Amino acid sequence: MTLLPLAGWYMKRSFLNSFKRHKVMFIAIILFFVGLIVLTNYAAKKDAEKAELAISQEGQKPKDKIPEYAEKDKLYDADEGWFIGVDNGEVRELTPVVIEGVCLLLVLAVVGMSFATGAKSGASFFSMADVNFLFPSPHKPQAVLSFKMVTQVAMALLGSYFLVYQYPNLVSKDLLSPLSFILCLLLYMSLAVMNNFVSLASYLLFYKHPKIRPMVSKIVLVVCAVPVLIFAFLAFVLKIGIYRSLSFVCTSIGSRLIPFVGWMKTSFAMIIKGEYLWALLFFAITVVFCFLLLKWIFSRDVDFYEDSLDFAMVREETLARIKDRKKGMANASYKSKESIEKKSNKIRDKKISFDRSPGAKAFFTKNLRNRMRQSRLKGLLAGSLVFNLLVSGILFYLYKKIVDSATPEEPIPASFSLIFCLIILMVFAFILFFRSRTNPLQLDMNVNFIYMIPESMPSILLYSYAEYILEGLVDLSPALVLMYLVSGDVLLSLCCFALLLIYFVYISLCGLALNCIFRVYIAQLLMSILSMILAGAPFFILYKLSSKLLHSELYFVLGFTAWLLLALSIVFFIICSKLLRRGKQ
Amino acid sequence: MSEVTNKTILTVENVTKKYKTELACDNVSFALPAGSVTVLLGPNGAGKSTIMKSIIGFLRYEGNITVDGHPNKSIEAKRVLGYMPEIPSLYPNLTVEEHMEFVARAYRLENYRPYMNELLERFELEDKKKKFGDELSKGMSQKLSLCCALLPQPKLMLMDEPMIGLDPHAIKELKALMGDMKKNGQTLLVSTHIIDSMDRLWDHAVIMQKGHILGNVVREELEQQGRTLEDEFFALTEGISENDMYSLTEEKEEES
Repeated sequence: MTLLPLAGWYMKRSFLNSFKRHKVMFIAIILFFVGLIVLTNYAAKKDAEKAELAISQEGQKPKDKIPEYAEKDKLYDADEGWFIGVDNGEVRELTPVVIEGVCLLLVLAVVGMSFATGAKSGASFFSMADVNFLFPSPHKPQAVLSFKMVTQVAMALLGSYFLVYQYPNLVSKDLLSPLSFILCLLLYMSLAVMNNFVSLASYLLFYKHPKIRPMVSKIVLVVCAVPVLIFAFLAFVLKIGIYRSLSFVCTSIGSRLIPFVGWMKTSFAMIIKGEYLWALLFFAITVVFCFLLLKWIFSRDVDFYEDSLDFAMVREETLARIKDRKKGMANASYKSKESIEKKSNKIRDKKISFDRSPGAKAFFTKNLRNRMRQSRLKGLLAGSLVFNLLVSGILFYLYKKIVDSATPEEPIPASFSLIFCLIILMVFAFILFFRSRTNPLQLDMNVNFIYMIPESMPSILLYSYAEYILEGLVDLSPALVLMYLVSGDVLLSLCCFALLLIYFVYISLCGLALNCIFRVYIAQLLMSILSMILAGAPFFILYKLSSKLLHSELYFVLGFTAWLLLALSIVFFIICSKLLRRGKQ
Repeated sequence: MSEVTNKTILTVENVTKKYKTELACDNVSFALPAGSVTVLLGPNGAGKSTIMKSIIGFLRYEGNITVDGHPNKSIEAKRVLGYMPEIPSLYPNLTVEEHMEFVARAYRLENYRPYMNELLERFELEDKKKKFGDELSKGMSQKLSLCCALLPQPKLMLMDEPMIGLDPHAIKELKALMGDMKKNGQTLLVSTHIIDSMDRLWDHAVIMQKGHILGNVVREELEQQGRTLEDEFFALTEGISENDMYSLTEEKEEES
């Protein structure tokens, strides 16, 4: 660990220098988060005031009170228990189970993702400068690893600190006590740090097995699905009841003893419940486990230099392309506008063809060809479509089960189909958000030749997106059919489908714009948080509006959200094309 | 003035490197005498960079490489080795001076400042001490990368295409520096595909093509035969003799 002082020195110098250089950007980010905190605080205070008013009017505690919208709004007139098949008495007992369930899913997703990416690209956190300066230095690979690990951990801590903005939201609404919030934040920071160890351990486990490495992510996906499958088996096959099934999966001793994931989720759940001693115990076990993991990592005779070099070279090539492009723009500025135009026209006259599609249309054809190559039935049966079909099938099965469980004594509310339609909308929006993370357009924009094509950037983007929208039309068709089957309302289904399609474009443009603006300046984690906020914002508006409106006005809400998304998409489209034209990334 | 000794500082024995299915180096073996300047010559894709990266310990390979009697990936070997990469990469948020300090800290060098200043002055970087890594041009980055590699004063210096990207002044300084290093008894292994660049400096040459060593040339022997390195290179890589080369030139002249 002889490189730890060097890591400390490097981080200090890097941070101070980047602060000096990008003062405006730093101040903008800080202001953004301060604004976020103020906004959250304001919203939380408003909610708290409302709750107090309700107590003074009715003399009831807010927890016991039926939400006010349930009384006046036909859309949400059901009581809390019917939807998941438990009686009202069990609802309050269910809350801790749900808390632990949510914690389990979150920790499982975070740790699973780290494990999968670790196996795939665990040595990818070294830059080419690290390779050139640190790898030849007289230190053991473990020491070099410790250098980078310290910097990664610092970044993770810095990233998790931004979650502080949730403080007023959670504490003012009595969801968490101040102590619980601080402990949760600390625990989240520990999770972010420990995740780095998990990722590295996964890499060390599999780096000598190139055949197994690509399969790890699939195995992780299966493992992550196990709790859901067990729940489904118990609830729908053995029919032991939703509450008992959920309890078995989330709060049983077995689930609490799952190494790392079980311990961590129990710590989280116990802090939220206020049982600090139990939380401390499980956290202590996790720390001991991580300590042993670290000992194992640093005791291994590991040779990761080649893998790191490969990843660093790919990254360096991309950065070099960006730099070259900037130079290209700079060189171009010396030439007269006329000569460039002349040259462009000359090239255009030659009709550069890409599969007989000139200019920007080539991107449409290229992406279409890619899709056709990667999927069957002339591009119709792609993996994403199959996945959406599967999700639709599961959702329809769930819908049928709930409808069938209705009895004359406990009928299902009339608005259930509408609520379920909105749930389908949310589920597919969630899927689209994850799909946009591997946006092929971002890859297109990293390719050098795109900037040499004598076409305007908006038209290149437009043609690229045209194919993307076409893919969305095909892939989201199961959602349209499902929404029609559930609601029986063609107009509503079409409205939701259009909204999803616009969201698909919006979210990918968001990602592209964020990538263009922030890529060089801020950490990946911070960018993920920003993209999540931007992705969730439209649906938060949809939720807030729809909970206040009656059924007849639902079309207005959907339409309003769609128009809002469309307007935002156009704004992002303009930002993207301007930034890309200027060669800024 | 130090001369080439019989002591071997680097031994490469039967090194084979495969990238998935592609064979980059096949059973490559050679040795460097201490205090010599050896050129690793070859066309693009010959495997020069692969061999350099294998020696510095970046790659996993089959075979043996020892530096000063130690396995090349050991700390003892790395104390002896210095490496100047083909593509210079710097930390964007560290200044020129801080890069040197980074290397000094990584190698635990003491009293490095006088030599650091000398290097920066020699390569005209003194007035750019406060410039950041991403503000330097490619040539400047190459110079800084070279200065960083030279700062620990390694016994064996590996240079991967060192002249590419440098301006004429820097090339002149680099050649002078190589001469100085040779005088000080330091060993140099320089990979290049530009034969003229090492014209006056080289003692040995290893000529490679498609992952194989075609020839191991000693300068004295070649000079006794009245041949140049260029002749030997083309004779080995393209099978063209000296007479063939003359006739090719004459044909071209006639055509023109």
